[in-house]
Amino acid sequence: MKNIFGFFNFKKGDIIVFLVIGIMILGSAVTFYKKPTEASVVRIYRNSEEYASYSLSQSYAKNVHVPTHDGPKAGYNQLRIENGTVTIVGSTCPNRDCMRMGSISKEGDILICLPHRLVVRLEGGDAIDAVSY
Amino acid sequence: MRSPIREISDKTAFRAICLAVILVLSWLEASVPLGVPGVKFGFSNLVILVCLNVYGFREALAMAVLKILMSLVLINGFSSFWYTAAGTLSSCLSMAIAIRYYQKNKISMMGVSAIGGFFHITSQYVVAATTLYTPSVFGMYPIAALLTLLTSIILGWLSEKITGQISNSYYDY
Repeated sequence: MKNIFGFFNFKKGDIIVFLVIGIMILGSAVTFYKKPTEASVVRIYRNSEEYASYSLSQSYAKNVHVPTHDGPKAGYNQLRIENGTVTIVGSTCPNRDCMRMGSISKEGDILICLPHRLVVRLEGGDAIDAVSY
Repeated sequence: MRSPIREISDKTAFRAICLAVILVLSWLEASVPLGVPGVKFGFSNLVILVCLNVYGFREALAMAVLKILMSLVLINGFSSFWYTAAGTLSSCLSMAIAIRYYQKNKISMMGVSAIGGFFHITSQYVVAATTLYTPSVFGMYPIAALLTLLTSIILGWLSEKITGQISNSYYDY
């Protein structure tokens, strides 16, 4: 019976493992960090192709219904665009992780629904090419 | 002394129990969100970790493959098949290599589990980025990896305790 009641007995090699993993995480955090800037366009991708895009401004509010595919028996994601933020407010996916991702408002932020292969991405720049319908 | 047939039936029963535990745990942990979407506690990997430690690489790989197939059929469906497959296989293989250093007494199970968790989350993010053609998925990677590191340390600690119990009860009778 080897120390069943001993608590967290780390070995020396653990320090190296944790250090390497920690450095990798820190490096990825530095690499992928972007300065938050205001977004102006919300683009919705479904199955890796663009489904729709809307301009994102304080005065613009809209509910967007995104079916998973065209035709009957399709699931859906329900998006809410309001006050410069985007939220997934409804979904038919099994675990609803997309609804737990909260609201996004900054450039480069994304909302993902993996089972539905849905990506909502905020972009900056000119809002001219965004179609609001 | 146990007969060969007893040996085989014991092994079969043991595999069935492990698989049942994996399925129940992965169903349970799906309902325990950890704050960051996509990060789960990983209790089902605890079983693979214990198998790897007590019964060796072959049993653990069998558990991993069965877990992937069962989660495809019973729990998640095909939409998350590639995530489960990539995560489970890469963590199982990396832990199989890492556990040699545990047996040489160089690292503890916490280290082995941390390596497995790191490979698990990284491969899942790579799969997400490639299947969705969206590299910006990695924006959430650092915080997810950090949370995975914490949970996998806890899992490694748990697996050390469980391994002590199992090897006491299994080898002695």
